[in-house]
Amino acid sequence: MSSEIKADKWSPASGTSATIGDSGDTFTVPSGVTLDTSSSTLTLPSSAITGQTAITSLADTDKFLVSQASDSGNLKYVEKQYLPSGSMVLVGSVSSTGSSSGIFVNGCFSSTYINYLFTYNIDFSSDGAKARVRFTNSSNAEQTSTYKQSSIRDSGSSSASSLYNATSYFVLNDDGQSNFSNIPLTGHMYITDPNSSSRYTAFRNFASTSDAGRNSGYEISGGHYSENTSIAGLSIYPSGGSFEAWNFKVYGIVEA
Amino acid sequence: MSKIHIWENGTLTERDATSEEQLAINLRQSEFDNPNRKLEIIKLLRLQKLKETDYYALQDVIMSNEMKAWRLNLRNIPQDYTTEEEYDLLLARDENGNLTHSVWSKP
Repeated sequence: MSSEIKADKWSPASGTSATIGDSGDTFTVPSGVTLDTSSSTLTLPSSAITGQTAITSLADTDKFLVSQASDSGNLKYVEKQYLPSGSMVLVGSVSSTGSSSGIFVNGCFSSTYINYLFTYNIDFSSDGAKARVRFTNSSNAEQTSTYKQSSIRDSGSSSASSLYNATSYFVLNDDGQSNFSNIPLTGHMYITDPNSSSRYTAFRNFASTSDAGRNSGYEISGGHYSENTSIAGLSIYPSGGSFEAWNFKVYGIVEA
Repeated sequence: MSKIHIWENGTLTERDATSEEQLAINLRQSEFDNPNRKLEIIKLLRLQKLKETDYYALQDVIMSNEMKAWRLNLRNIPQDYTTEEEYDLLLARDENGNLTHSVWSKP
């Protein structure tokens, strides 16, 4: 049996509250009907957000509900592409413990960013080893033409010195690193314009070192890969022995 | 066989080095194991030990005969230790990273 209530106003029979239906009932507001709560207080269930399907990435046109302060708090939406974002975006991350003779970080460079930050933390198996780096192309092939690198370094056991190398790799540390696991090789390097096939890819490195005598030191270097080659990734490997633990991260730096 | 690790699209995989990669790794290792490189590290350690005790040579400090003999032994390392096996013994460390050869022990 169906029936229809026609009334201009619903009010509690007594007191100030009333209930519509019972648990399990569904009331439908049909298409074309306006349920205007704009002047009232609307309480949403706590599951209004958590009851929805979660997503793990955002498209530029995904939308967020906002109350616009400059428009009397009226509700508007803003798309993800217009939200302020961090200045660095993680594009490569690898960490592990265990012996490795070489690590490839493939596909971390693209046309999206011009500048990248590469951070590293390495434990070596052998005293006095160096971490060598080669760029890789989009086929993940190591680029073995000439890398030119100038550096200065100083440590507690030796006088400051400057170096210049031009060889088929460049180094994160030219002074061999201690293999004492309490003092890993740590540092960061900026890489510029790797995706360009018409400009050399440049790098600037700053390393905190500890030589075989356990003396702390630093190295600063700059250089470039002397080929007009589009670079897509990195290959990092020890000059001797192996990496025993490592942590590499690559961030794309968002242009202002 | 040496291990190579590859990160791509958020996934880290491990594989054996290819025969070509293993050749390159072996070549690197043989260059790394060059006795001259080990001697360079020994000289670095020696310099560090000598620097640590340089103040004994100041005019107003008396250097003991034991200290003089120890520093002389350090200076003589290149002529007293000449084989790769001796270099390895000089570079040996205990589990805490301390050098174990007696020549490094300060009197």
